[in-house]
Amino acid sequence: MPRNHSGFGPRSDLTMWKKPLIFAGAFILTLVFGCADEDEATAPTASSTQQASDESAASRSDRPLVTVSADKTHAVQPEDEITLSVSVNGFKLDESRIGQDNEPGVGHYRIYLDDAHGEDFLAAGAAPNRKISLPSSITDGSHELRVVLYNNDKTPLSPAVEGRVLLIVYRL
Amino acid sequence: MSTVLASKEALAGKRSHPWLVAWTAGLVTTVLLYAFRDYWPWAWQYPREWNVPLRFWVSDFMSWLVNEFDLGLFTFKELTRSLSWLLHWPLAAAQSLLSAGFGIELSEDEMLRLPRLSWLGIVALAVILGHLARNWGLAALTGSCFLYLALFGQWDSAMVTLSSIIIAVPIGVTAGLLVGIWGFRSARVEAIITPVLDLMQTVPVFAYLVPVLFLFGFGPVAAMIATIIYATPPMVRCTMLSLKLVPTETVEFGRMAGCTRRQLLWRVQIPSARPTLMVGVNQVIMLSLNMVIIASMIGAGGLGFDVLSSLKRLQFGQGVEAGLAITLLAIALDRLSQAFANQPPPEHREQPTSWLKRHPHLGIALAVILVTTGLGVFVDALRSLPENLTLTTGPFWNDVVSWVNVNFFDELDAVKSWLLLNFLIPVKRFLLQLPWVAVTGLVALAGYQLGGWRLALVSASLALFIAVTGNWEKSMISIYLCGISVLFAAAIGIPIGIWAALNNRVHRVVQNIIDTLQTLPSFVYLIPVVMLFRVGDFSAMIAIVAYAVVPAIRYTDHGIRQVPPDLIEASRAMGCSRLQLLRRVQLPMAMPEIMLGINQTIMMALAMLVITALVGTRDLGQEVYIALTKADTGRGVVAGVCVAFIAIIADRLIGAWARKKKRELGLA
Amino acid sequence: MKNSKSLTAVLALALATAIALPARAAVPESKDSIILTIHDWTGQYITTHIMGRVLEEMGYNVKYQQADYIAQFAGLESGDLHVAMEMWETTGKQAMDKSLATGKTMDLGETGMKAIEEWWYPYYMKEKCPGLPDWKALNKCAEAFATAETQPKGRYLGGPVTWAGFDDERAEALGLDFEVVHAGTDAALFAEIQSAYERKAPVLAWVYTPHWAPIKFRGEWVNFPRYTDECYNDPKWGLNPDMAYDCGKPRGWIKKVGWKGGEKKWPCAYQAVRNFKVSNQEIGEMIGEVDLEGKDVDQVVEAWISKNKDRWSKWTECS
Repeated sequence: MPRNHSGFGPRSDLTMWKKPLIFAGAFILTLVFGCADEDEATAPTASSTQQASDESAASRSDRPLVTVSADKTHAVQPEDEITLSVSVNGFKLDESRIGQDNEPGVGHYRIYLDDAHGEDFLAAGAAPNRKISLPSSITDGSHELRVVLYNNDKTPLSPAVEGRVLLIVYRL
Repeated sequence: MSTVLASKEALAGKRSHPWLVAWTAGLVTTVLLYAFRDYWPWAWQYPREWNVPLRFWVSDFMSWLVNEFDLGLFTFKELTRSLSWLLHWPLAAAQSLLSAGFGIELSEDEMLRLPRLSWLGIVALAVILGHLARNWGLAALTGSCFLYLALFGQWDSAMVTLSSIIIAVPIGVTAGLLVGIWGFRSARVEAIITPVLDLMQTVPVFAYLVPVLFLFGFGPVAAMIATIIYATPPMVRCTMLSLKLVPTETVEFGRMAGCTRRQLLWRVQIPSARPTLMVGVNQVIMLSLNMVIIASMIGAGGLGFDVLSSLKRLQFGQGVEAGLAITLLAIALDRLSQAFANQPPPEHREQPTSWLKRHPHLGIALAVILVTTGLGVFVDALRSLPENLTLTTGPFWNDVVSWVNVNFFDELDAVKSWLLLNFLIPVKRFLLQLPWVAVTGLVALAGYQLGGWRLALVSASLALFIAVTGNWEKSMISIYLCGISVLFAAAIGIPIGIWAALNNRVHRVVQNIIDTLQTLPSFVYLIPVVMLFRVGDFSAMIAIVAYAVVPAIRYTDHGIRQVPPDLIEASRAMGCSRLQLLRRVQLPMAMPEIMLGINQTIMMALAMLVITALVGTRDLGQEVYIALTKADTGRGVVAGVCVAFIAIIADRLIGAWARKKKRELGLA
Repeated sequence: MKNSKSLTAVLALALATAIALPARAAVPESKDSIILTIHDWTGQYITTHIMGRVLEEMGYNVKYQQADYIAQFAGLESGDLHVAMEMWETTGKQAMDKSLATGKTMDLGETGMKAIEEWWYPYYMKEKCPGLPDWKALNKCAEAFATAETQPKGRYLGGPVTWAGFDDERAEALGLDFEVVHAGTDAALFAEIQSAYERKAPVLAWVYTPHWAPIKFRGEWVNFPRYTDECYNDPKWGLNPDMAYDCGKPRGWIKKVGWKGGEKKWPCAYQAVRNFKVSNQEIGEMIGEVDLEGKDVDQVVEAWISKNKDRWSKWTECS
C-alpha cells in the first residue's frame, strides 16, 4: 500500500542531530543490556541448566561432578538397550563397598527414570559403562535418565549430585 | 412569505425522506431474509452448487500458459525464463560486488577471487552520500544505520538484501516512469491502467507469488520480479500525476522555444515534475523493503530469511535484530532519497575544471572504497567484521518476552477473553449470519446514494463476484477482522493524531514512531504477540491495528493542520475556546481528510490479512497463504482478487463520501 | 592424397579410442549446478548441506535454493529444482504420491530417519490428567485443556492447515471433546507451546521430531490407536465404523525426491543421493547443537563431514 507523506521536507539542522543522538542512546542502552547477558546464549531447559548449575557448583566447592552420556538418545525404542557412560569427578565409585558404612568421597550410583526416587531405580552400580533396559511401559515422549550418586550405606548424597541425559522415545 | 417558508421546510424535510425510506426498507428486507431463511436458503447462504469454479479455470490457464503456450518461435515459458535469465546477470553482479565477491575461472582448477566491497568502505560511502545529500546530520544518520548492520552481525544478509534492492529499484522506477508517461500521453491508456493499478495495489502479494514462481522459476530473480511488480504502481501514479501538475506556462514556454515532443518531455516536463517524481522513487524504495520478508519466502534469502528462521526457532532477539536491520536500511535509504529530492537548485558558480574538484564527494567515496577493498585482499577484518567484534542483544529480548509472559499472561488473557467473548465473537457471528443478497443490496444502495448508479453497479458486481466464487463466508470473516481492527485503529489513531496536530513536539516523536511501525516487519512482533495472546483472531487483530493505526494518525494530523488559518483566526476572533475550536471548526473541516485516513486504514488492514494468516486466521488471507504453500495458482488469485474487491468497494464508497462532504464544506 | 590418408588414419584412430573408452562419462557428467532445496527448519538444512558437501567433494557444482515444502513439487517437476532431501511420510505423503504420478519426479529412497508427528502435552499435565498418555483420558480432561473461547471443549493446537494430518477428522471420528485450532505457521505453534511451558499452563499441541522441540520441552505424545492405511481409507476400520481417521498419524519414513531428468544428467550424483543414509541419533544431536546450543550450522555440518569421511566415501562409489 502506498505510504502517504504528509510532512516531508527539509528539516532544520537541530532536528537532524536529534535523531542520531537518539539512535546512539538506544544503541548504548542495548549494548549495556546485551553485554550483560552475552554468555547466556540458550533458553533454559531442565537438563542443561541442571548440568550448568552442577558444573558451577562443582567449581565453587569440592562437590563431586557427574557427567553422563548415552549411545542412543533419539528415536529410542522401548526394547533398545542403552549404554550409559558415567564419568565422575571428585568421587570414587566402588561396587564392592555397597552396603558398607558411609565413607566420604566413595560410593556408587543409582539410575532413575524421570522423577522416580527411593527404591524405584532402574539399575545401581559403579561401572563406568552400564547397559540399561527401559521399562516396556515407558511412554512415547521425552524422558530423562538420572544418574544419582549414593553413599555406601545406600543413602543419597546431601545435597544431591546427579547427571542427566535426555532420551526421546517413540515406538515405530 | 409564510407559505414560501413552509414549502421550503417541507422540501427540506422531503429531501431526507427518500434515503431514510430506502435504508429502512433495506434493513427490513435483511431482517426478513434472515427470519425466513429456511424458505429461501439460497438468499441467506450462497449455495455451493451455484459456485463458479473460477479458481480451477485460472489454474488450468496457468498450466497451459506455462507448459503449452507457444508463440511460434518460442514458448511463453521460454520467453519468461529468458527474461529471468537476463535479469539474473545484474543481480549476480550486484551480489558479487556487495556480498559474495567475484570468482573468475582462470583455468580448470584455478580461480581468481576478488573480494567484495569492504564493509568499512560502504559505511564510509553512506556517510559521504549523506553529507552530499544534505548535511552532517544526515551523514551521521545513514552512517550509523550502516554501522549497525556491521556491528550486529547483519552485514552479510543485509548486503544480499541490498543488492536485490539496488537492482529492483531502478528497474521499478524506469518501468513506472515509462508506463506513467504512456498513460499521461494517452487518455485511453490511462483509463485502462488505473483499474489495473488499483488491482495491483490491493491484491495481496502472496496471490501473485505463485504465478511468478511458475513463470520465472524458483530463485532470487523471481523474488526480485515479485518485488518490482509490488513496488512499481506508486511510481506510475506519481508520474502521471506529476506530469499533469506541470504548470501550463512552463509547457507553453517549451513549445515556444521550439522543442520537439521528445525534447519537451525529457527536457522540460520531467525536470519540472522532479519533486513529485522523487516521491514516487521514495515509495518504490519503501515498498521494496516492505517486501523483503515476503520475498524471502520464495527464495530471496538475506535479512527476510533471517527474520523468518530466527522466529521459527523462537530466537526472538535475533528476529528483532534482523527486523531492525530492515527498518534501519529503509530509514537510511528513505531519508537519503528524500534529501536528494529536496535539494535546493545548484548554485551557479565558476566551476573548477578538474573532475575531482567538481565532484569532491564522489572522488573521496571512490578513493575510500578502492583503498579499503584493496586492503581487504590482505586484511580479513576489512572484508567482514570478525565475529568477536560483533554484538548482539538477542538474549535480552528473549528474556523480556519470557518475563512478560510469566508475569502478565493471566491479566492480559483476562482482558483478551472479555473482549473476545463480549465483542469480537458476537460481531463475527452477526456478520456471518447476514444474508448475502441483503448485504449486496445494501452495498448497492450505499453506492447509489453516494455516487449514482455507476458506483452502485460497480459495488454490487464486485460483491456478487465474491459470492459467486464461493468466498462469501471467508470474506465476511475478513471484513469482521478488518472492521474491528479499523475501529480500534481509528479509536486509538484519531485522538493521537489530534494531539500531534496541536502539539509540535508530540508531532515529531509520533512521526518517528509511526515510521518505525510501518517499516519494522510485523512478523517480528507477531510471534511475541502469539506467546501472550495465543493463536487466533485476537493476535491477528493486534498486528493489524499496529500497522493500520499509522494512516489514521497521519491523515488526522495532516487534515487538522491543513485547516485554513484564516478560518481559525476568524473563529478565535469570534471568541471560541480551544475545545470549541477543535470540535466546531477544526474537526469538521478536517473530516474529509480524516475519512481518507480511515480509507487508507482500511486498505492497510486488508493488506495485513495475509500476514495475519501466518498467525492462524481462517479467512481470505489464509486462503491466499494456503494457495502459496500448495502452489495452487487459481485459489490464490481468486482469493486475492476478492480481497482487492473488498478494498475497492470500501475505497470507492468512502472516497465518494469524502468528495461529497468536501463539496458541502466548500473545500473542493 | 597422402595427407588425406594420414588424416583419415588419425581420425579412425581417434574414433577407435573414443569407442574403446568406457561409455560412461567421468564424474561430474555435467558442470551445471545441482540444485538442492532448502526449507526453514534446521534438520532439513543439515541433511541437505551434508548431501551438498558430499556432492561437492565428488566434483559436482551444487546450489542451494530455498523453496516451500509443498510448493517445491512444482519446481521439481519442471526441473527448476533438482533434489529435495526430506519429504516426511507423516505430512508429505499425499503430495509426493501425486507428484510421482506425473512421472516427472522420482523417489530416491529413504534417508534412514524415522519421524513422528502427534498430539503432545507437557509432562506436568500428567498430574492434572492421570489417564494420559492414553487417548481415552483426553475426554475426561477436556476441562483441563480448555480455554475461555473453547469452553467446555478442550483446545488442541494443530499445525498449519497445509500440513494436513487430518486432526479435525480425527477429533470427530474418535469423539473427542476438543476444538482443533490451526496455527498459521510452526513459528506461531511453538511460540504458544513455549509460552505455556514457561507458565506451566495446559497445552495440547502438534509436536514432531526430528526437531528441537521435544529436546527443549519435556513432554509426551498421546497414544492413539496405531495407524494403518485402512484407517485412513476405510471408514469401517477401527473404533468408529462410520468414519475414517479414527487412529493416530502414520509414523514413518523421510524420503528424498528428485527431478527425473537429473538421473540422466548426473547419474552418479543421483546414486550418491540414493545411498545417503543417516540416523535420527546423529541428526537429532546436530539439531540440538544448532537450535539449542547456538552453534553455527555450517560448522556443525563441516564437523560431520570430516568425522565421517569413510562412511560418505562409500556413497560416492558409482556402479
